[in-house]
Amino acid sequence: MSKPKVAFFDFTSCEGCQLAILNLEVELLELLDIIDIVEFREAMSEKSETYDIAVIEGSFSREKDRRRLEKIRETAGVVIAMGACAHIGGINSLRNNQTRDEVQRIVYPDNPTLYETNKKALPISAAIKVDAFVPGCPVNVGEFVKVVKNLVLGKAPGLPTYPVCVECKMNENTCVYEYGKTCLGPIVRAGCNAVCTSNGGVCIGCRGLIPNPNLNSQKDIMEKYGLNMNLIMDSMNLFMTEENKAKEV
Amino acid sequence: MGETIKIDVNHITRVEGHGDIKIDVENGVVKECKLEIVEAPRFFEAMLKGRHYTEAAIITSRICGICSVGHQLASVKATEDAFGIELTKQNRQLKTLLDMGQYFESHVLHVYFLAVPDFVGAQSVFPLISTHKDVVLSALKLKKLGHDIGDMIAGRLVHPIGIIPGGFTKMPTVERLEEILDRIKDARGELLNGVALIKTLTLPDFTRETEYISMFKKGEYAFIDGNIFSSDKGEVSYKDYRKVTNEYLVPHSTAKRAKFNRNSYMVGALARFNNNYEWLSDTAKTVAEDIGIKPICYNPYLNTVAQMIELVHIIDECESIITDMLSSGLKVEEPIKPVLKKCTGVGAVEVPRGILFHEYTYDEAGYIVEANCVIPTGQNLQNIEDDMKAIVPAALGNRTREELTLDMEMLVRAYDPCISCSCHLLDVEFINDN
Amino acid sequence: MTTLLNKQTTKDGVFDGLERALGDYKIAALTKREGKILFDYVKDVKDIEQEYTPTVLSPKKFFFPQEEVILEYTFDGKVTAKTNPEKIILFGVRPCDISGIKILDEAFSESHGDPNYLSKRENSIIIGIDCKSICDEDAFCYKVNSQYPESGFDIMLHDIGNDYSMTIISDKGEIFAENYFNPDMVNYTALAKFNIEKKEAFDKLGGPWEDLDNLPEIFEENTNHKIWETEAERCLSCGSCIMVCPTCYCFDVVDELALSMKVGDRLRRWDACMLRSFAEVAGGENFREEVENRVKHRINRKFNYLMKKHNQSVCVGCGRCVRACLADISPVTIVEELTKTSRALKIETKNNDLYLPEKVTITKVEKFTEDEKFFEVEFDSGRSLGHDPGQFVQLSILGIGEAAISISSPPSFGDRFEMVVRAVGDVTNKLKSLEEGDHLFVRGPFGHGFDAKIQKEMEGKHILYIAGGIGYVPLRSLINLSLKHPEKYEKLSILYGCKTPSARMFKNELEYISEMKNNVEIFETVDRPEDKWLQHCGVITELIPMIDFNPDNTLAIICGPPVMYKYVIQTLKEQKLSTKNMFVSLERRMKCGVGKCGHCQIDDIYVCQTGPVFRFSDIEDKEEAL
Repeated sequence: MSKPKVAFFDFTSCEGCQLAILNLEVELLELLDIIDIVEFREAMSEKSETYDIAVIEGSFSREKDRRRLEKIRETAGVVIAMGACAHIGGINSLRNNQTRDEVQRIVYPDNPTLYETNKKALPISAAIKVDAFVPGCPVNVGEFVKVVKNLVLGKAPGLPTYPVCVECKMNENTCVYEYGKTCLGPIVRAGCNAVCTSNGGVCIGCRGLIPNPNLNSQKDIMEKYGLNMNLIMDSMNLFMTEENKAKEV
Repeated sequence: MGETIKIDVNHITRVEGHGDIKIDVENGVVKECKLEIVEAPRFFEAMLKGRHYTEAAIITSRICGICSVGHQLASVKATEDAFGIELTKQNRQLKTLLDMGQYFESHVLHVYFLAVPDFVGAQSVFPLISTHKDVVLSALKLKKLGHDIGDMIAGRLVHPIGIIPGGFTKMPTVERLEEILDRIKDARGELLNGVALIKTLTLPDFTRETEYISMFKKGEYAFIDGNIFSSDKGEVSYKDYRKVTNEYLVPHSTAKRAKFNRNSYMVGALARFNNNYEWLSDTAKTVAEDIGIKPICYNPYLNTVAQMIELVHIIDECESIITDMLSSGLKVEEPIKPVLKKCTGVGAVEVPRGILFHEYTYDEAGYIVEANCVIPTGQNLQNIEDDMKAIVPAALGNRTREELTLDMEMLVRAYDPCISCSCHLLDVEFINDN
Repeated sequence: MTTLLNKQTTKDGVFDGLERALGDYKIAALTKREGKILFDYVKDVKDIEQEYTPTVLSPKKFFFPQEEVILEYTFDGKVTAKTNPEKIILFGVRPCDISGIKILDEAFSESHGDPNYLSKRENSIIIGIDCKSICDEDAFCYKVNSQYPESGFDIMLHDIGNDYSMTIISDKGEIFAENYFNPDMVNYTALAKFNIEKKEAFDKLGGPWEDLDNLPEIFEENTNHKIWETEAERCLSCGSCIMVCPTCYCFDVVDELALSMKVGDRLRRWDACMLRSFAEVAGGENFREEVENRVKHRINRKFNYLMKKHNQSVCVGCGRCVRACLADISPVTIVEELTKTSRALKIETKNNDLYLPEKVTITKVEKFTEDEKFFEVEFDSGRSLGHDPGQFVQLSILGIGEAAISISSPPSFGDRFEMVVRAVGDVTNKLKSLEEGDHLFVRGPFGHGFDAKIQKEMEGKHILYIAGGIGYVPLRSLINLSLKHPEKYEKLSILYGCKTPSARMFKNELEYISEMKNNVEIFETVDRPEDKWLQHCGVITELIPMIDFNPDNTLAIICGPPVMYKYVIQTLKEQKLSTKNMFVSLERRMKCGVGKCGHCQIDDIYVCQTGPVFRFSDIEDKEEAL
């Protein structure tokens, strides 16, 4: 059985997720035993007209990128949205809290409309159908490898639907709410092994909401712990502006 | 000579970010010679407005995946500068180590994965897996070291977690430091193999007198502390960075350009090498002599070689820092909390690609009023174009179109540009501009 | 088993002994890591923390780790069971956690003993330190009497000043104390003083709940109490309460292939009934979708279902879930007294191969529909499956996973057995592509089927087989058995309903049955007819009144999609059939098949153990049954 051909593409992004893949180091060589990478602009000059799996990093934020996305969709059998930007809009979508006018005037005051941009920065699913996603900013490479493996084996991608708290507790962390910190863990999807809370930080929600978050209770709890509600709403908008709009948070 | 050549490279490969090379020569006259930046605008400066000081590093980190450590270091430095936070010695050592980890990752990526393939006739590093497997494995091992240093200090290297203004959220353990120290000593051997490989390559012979700008601190090869130094004009305070960068817009680029004494200047490994050669470690100097490169070197293609020399120096630095930390004993230090007030601060840091500046102005509640970032690659863009304008006329009649295209691509690659980074430049009028 | 033994030793003696023991054992104790207090392995006795602070996780992680490899396999068919035991000393465990270990000992020893947990316990020595007072304000061990465990340890140390008084309850403990602790004669006065002071301290806090003993009954009476709703409203279903609990032991099982695709592992990792997807089956149905039901189930396990089994509160009052819950949901809200009678249990591993599957070869396949495929398989070893109709097997495709599949052939079929598989999940989708000659792995048979007792009860009666869609498949194992000797029964009536004619299972056999005379009859119905369908159109309940039966001599045997049961049973009740004379075969999400991982629970029973075949009157009062 021939190895599936995989091509990587990037749109409006920081390329950190692709870098994370290259950072697989020795495991990268093993990954190449089960897939053929035929296009990966950041690391290779080779390109390909045909590929089975397209891995896309970055948001859809310019109308002229729509055609490029559609062409990829037409060519690939499977499209994977890799990383928060492609999956839910990510940090790019933070600007959706201001109008396009505003942000253009701030950044390019002499010539605001010089560079084409859409009203909003959106996940790629706003332009094309997506078959699977690997969340996170950056992606957890172990999870990326797992999803690719599962797709190659004909299994479902297998991402968890439970929140970060499960993994945080398995790592034996004391909940950071006890220290007065704002953590989005209870409503954000696990699979990152609670890397941020386990390293002294808090969950900033880069992986998107779990399928059925209890947002009312979450709000009450945060108030109970005396956390700054404005700071929390700000925090939820860092990566999840588009998700929040959808759930009317 | 009457040559007519049109070169149009769309989305140069093996560089970070989206750039196009456009060269138009008609009847021997160079009509157009441009490096176009076509990266989608991301509006970071707009997004930073009104955000809390605790989020500055998290947000600016996402400007670029490769440079995320650099952005976070510069970001917290700017915040610390604004609030007047003094760092402890251990803190400084950890920040330097983290920066070093980033250099390992970034320089090795650039040298082995992005640049070297051109020199051995490959389109990417992937075919080298069968022809030069040892080299590839060596590169992966060195990269992993950089990664693990990042993991140890900040939780992960891409978009780190542990760096906050005033310190770190987590301390490394003695066991981990000892393990990293052993691996650093091993890495020396791997690196010298890489140097031996570099020596066998034929690098293009092109020079153009250029101004070099880098960080400077007497007595050390400056990375995270110091002022600005120009090879033409000498030392300038880091707070006066805008006097040095003087940014301006060009129509064919979403990124701004910079200039100081001449039409353009260069930052990065070669600039640091030229300005701070004196303070390289002895091993690094020996390697430089062995390869045959010494200051002032005006060949931009040798930026890649300068990176290798820096790696040799960095191994020595890391070894000395970790040894000192272990013998002094690790202290558990809580990050220093700022006292909020209206203020402005500048953070300057040497990241792999050159000197990076972040500047923030805060209101009395700790929210950002204005933010500015000047990216190393942005500072290089005009210099790259000036190099192109010097190479093209000289090459007419001597190089085929394909050869010239490759020369141009290799030139851009040699600078190790980070194009995504360079696209967030802010044109903000600071109210208390001096 | 040793009976209670009392000795004494000095504190220095204990720590010196542990230092010597470091050479022979790994020692896990309370220690500090990066600012956290937790139970972890120590390399130096000096690293053991002397003051007790409640930890985030309980020490159960040493015997039932967060994640554990239980099988290793290679693609040329070599499969090895892994139990990973190590000789360890667990030192400094407090009574609440020891009570927790006692519960897990009993749970993992029950029926099929779990080899992974038991082998670790066999190789461990547990040295507890008794509590003389409460550790913090969230702990409530004294309310459930868990501060007096009678097993779950080998040596218990009581602090009597410069010395420790020792209570030793096992041979292992006695030998260890002899070798390492320099035991001396016990000073009974000092021990008595300790116990008196301990009792006073806990009594001052209020002592055990008055109704502790009656908690199970009280919970039974209060299934519709408003408190379930009000607590559930705040619940984030974050799973923290389960992760930290010393007596929770549900787990998920996953297959992971190495990138080489040549070797792989089967792992188990902690799971939680409080998570939304815990009771979701591959087809999409979720048997515990509402948060309220999940909260109710979790608390009932601690004070009702399992409490009946273990004869003590299964919540040990350690307070961890109280500390961990952001929504302030606490078991203390429903609490009563219970006297405990418990027996010290002898730990022994019974079956190392419980999770180890056997290789089978596919001898025949047939595609029934787009998504349903028929398989006939035989064991490579040549053995018979030896099953009852209605039982199931756990079918593995190594690297993909394991799924519970009903057996469709009757026991008298010889050395081969048959299954029909619908492609809905990872394993069953992969099965679709397998052909004659391919290999699979099987464990089983498992579950309670139509055993000899039920088969005897069927004799002389009118049997109504009522099947819906793919529900015909498990029922066929009994139907075909009875069709061999129809004379044993008063009558055999088969009622079969499907969405469309092409969705029917075993079409040829149905033809054949319809041509049988005498006391065998078959009626079919479909929701949507296709060409040439001449039989009934409509739901299956419409067929029931068409059958002439005497409810006093009839048994109904039902199997179909979840929604079907309610209506069929209602219709049968209208025809005066008693629920004692109805049998159902139920489906739930299954992972281990042997009553351990927790996924298939209905109230207090495991479907994989007490079912899948149930007499309906036995479960009609169970909330979660239908």
